[in-house]
Amino acid sequence: MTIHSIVADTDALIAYARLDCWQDIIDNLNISTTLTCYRELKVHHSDIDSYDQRKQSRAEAAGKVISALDDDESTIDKEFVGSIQDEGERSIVELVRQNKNDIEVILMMDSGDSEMAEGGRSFVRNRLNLKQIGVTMPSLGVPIGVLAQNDILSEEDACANINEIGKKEGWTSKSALERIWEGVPLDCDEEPDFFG
Amino acid sequence: MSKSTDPSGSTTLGEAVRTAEEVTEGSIEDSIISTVEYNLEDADKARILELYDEGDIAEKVARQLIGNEDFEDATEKARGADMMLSGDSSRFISE
Repeated sequence: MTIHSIVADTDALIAYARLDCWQDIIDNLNISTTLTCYRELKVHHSDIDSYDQRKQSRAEAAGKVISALDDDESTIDKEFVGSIQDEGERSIVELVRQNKNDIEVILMMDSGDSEMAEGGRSFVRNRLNLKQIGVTMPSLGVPIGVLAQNDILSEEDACANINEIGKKEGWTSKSALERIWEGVPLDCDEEPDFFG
Repeated sequence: MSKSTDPSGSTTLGEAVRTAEEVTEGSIEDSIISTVEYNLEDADKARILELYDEGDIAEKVARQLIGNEDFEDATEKARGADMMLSGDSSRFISE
């Protein structure tokens, strides 16, 4: 079993599948997820005939991720952590605990309940001492910056996709996005509203 | 940053708080900070984080104004950007 240095949960993968650069992601970025997240993706995909446009859009994106995970040619794969967890984020925590030496990056979209510190990124931060184990949890825009840094995405495409992610993640990504623009570097014309 | 005053300009926000604390016989600081946090918009919170990044305000003040969880999330995202983009990022790319 080869664990990639980047792991991603269900929502992160769905967010990426909605971007124009999805094909570049699954052709180039080494990402692992868990069987629990794969199962969650299948649940989301079952809404493909929903009359609710939001659910249907999410189902379509989940379908794209499932196809990539089932395709041996793609750079993303799924791993079994020894038991099926109830929720994706729990399985991600378990995957990281079992592979501390290999995993460097956790990608998650949902910030979780900030009051209760449950679910999503809050849950992971409260279960793992990220700094101590040498793992980090960046904005989803950062791997897009990595694609630009390695000349896989053009500056224009990177800016457009990073801004799309920035709008979804909100103001907590501001510092991270500024670091991408300086670190790659990218000269983006348009910025998410909260930058104003 | 202006303080609240009554029309005569004789009562400052600080005086109002001290008076309220004398009446309630307890600190109302947490209530005031919660109200301030509630009224901050995303752009305001982003600016507060920027002031913290630039060393203009203390971590404690930033945490109080934008909330612990959001502060932790924002700083973790920034740390992640530094880590992934510094050095040779080609290790994240398939050969």
